[in-house]
Amino acid sequence: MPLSFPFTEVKSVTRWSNYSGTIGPRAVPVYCTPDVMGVAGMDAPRKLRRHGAALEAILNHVWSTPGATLRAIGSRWSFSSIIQPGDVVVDPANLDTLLEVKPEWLNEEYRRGRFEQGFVPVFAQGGTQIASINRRLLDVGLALQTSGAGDGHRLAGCLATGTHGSALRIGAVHDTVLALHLIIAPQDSVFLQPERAACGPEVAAWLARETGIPTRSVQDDKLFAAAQVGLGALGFVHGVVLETAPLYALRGRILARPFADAEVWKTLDDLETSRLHPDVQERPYHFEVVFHPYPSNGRPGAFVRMFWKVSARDVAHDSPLPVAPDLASDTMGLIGKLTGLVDGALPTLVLRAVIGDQLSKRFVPGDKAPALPGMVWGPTSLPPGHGTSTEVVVDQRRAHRALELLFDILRTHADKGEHLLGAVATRFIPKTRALLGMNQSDMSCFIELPSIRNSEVEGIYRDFWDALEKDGVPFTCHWGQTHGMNPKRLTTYFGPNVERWKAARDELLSSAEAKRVFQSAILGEVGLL
Amino acid sequence: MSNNRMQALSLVAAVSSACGGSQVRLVSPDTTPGSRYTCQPGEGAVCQPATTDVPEDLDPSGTVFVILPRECKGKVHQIVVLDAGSSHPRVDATCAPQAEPVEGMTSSYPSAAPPATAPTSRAPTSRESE
Repeated sequence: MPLSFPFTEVKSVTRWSNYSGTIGPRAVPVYCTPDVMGVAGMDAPRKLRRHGAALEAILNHVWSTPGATLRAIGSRWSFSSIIQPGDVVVDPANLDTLLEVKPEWLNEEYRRGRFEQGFVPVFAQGGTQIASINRRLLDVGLALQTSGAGDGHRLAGCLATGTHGSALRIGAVHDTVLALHLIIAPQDSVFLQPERAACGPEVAAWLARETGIPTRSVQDDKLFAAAQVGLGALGFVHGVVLETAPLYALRGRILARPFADAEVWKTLDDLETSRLHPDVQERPYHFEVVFHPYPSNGRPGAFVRMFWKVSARDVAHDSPLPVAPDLASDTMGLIGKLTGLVDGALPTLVLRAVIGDQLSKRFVPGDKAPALPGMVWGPTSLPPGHGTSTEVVVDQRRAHRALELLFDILRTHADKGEHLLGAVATRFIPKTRALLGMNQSDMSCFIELPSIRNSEVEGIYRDFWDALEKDGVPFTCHWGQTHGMNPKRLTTYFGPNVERWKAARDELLSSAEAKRVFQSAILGEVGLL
Repeated sequence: MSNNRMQALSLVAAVSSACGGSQVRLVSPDTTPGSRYTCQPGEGAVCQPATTDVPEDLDPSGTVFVILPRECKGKVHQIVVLDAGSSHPRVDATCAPQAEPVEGMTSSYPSAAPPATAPTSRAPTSRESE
C-alpha cells in the first residue's frame, strides 16, 4: 500500500539530482511535499497546523523505519554531500509563511533597543526562498540585512550551509537569526534562542498551538551557536526568526583595475577601502573583488564591486525578472555564459580572452544607481548540470598569502593546459558566534572559485587545499560547495568548536533514532559523527 | 498556485512534442518553484507528479526562454505558443483573475485590486545566439 501522510503529496522519484549535477542522478523512494494544494473551507486546519501534521506523520514514518534518514531539500544549489538525499526527502517549498513577531511578544531589552531602532523580528518558515522574502518584506518596508550572492536559496538551506554575502559589518545570513524552531522528534520541538533572547515565551507557545507539535522554549548560547549553522543535521528547521532592517537601497560602484593594482592588493591586506573611494567618506556596506584567473598585462584583471547603504526613498520598488540561464547577474552566473562559449580544451591565450571579455561585460566600471537589495542580489543564471565551485575561507590576514598560492597553482596548471573555467571572487565578513560558521576570524576572507565542471578543475581545487595546508594557512571550505575538508583540517580551523558542536548535537538529539534520522553524509566526511 | 503551474507545464509538454523535441521554457515572475508535474496533451488529460527531477534534463541546448506576464501575478489561465517550432516563437498568455476568498462586507470591501486584463504577450528571450 502506498505511503500517505496528511496534507502531503507523496511520490517516488526514479531520478533525482542537485542543480549542478554533482550529486546523482539517484532514486529517492519517498519524496514528500507538504501542503501542495492547501485546504479551503471553514473546518480546514490553519496552514501551520497542516504543516505540523504532515511533518509529524513523516517523522513518525522515518523514526519507525530501521535505517531510514530524512533530508530536507532546499533549492538544491549545494554542490557538496550536505544535500545528499536519503530514503525520505521533504521538499519544504510550501512552508513559506512570513509573519512579523508581535511587539508585545518581544523581550523588554530587545524592544527598547534594536526594535526601537527600526529592526523588526520576522518569523519565516524554512522553505521560504530569499527572493520571496525580499519581495514580501519590501511590501512592509523591510529588508534582509544580508543574503547570498543570489536570491534563489531557501532559508533553511542558508542556515545549513552558512550562506553569506559580502556585508562588511553584518556577517552571514546565520548572523541575522534571532531564534530557530527545530523539530527534533515527531512530538518534540524546541524554540531555540541565545541567553539574551529577543523573543518572549509567547512565541514558543504560539508555535506549539499553531503546529500542534509540543514546543519547548530553550535559551542556551551553546545550543543556539550550534544550530545557527546546523548542516541540516540538528533537526528539521521549521522556521527561524530573522532580524530584518528598515528598507534600504544600495548605491553601487565598480572599478576595473589591472590584476596587480597596488591599491587593490593593499586593500585586501588591511580592508581600508577608502583608498578605492577617496570621494566617499563612508565605508561600503558590501565589498568584493573578482579576479581574472589568467590576467594579462595592460588589461583589467581585478574588478572591485562596492555598495553603500542609502535611503530607499525615490528608488523604484521592483523585483528582478527571471533570467535565462545564460544572462547572468551573479558571479556564479559567469559559468553560465562560459558554458555556451567553451567547448573542449582551449589554450590559455584563447581562454584568457574569453574570460576577460565576460568579466568586462559583467563588471562595467562606474557608479550604479541605487537599487533595492532584492534587485542587486537577483536570480542566478547558472545553467543546471555544468557547474562546480569551491570556496576556501581563511583569516583575512592570510588572504594575500592564500591568493598568492592560488595564482601559482593556476599558472602551473595552465602550463599543462588545465584551466579554471570561471573567476576568482573574494569577499569579507566579520566574526560569527556560530560554532561551525565559516566566518571564525575577526574578519574572514572567502575565496570562491566557480567553474564549469571538469576533471581538471577538481585537480586545481585539490592542489589549492593541499598548498594551504602545507603552507600552514588554516582554512575551511564552504559547507555547500565542493570541499577538501577532513577531520584534521576541520579541527585545525574550528578548534574546540568541533567538539562543542558534537556535544550540542548529542544534547539536542538525545536518542539514537534522532541522530540516525537527521544524519547527513557530510558529517562522516569531516569527522562530526 | 499549483493548478496554474500544472496548466503551464501541460502546455509546455504539448509544445515540446509539437515542435519535434525543441523546448520552450516559460517562467512566471515573482514566483518561487513548488512541486512539479508531468502532463500529457489531450482531452481531459491528467497531470501526474513528476517522477524524475534532474534539472539538467529540462535545459537542453537551444531551449527558448520566455518570461510570462508579471501582470498575471503567477496566476495564468492559458498559454498558447505560436510558431512553436520556429526560431522565433511568440507567446499568448491569458492571466487568471486574482480571485479572493469570500469576505464579509466591510467598509474596505472590495479589498482586492481589479484583476489584470488579458491577454498579454511578450517576445521570447532565446538562447539561440549561443
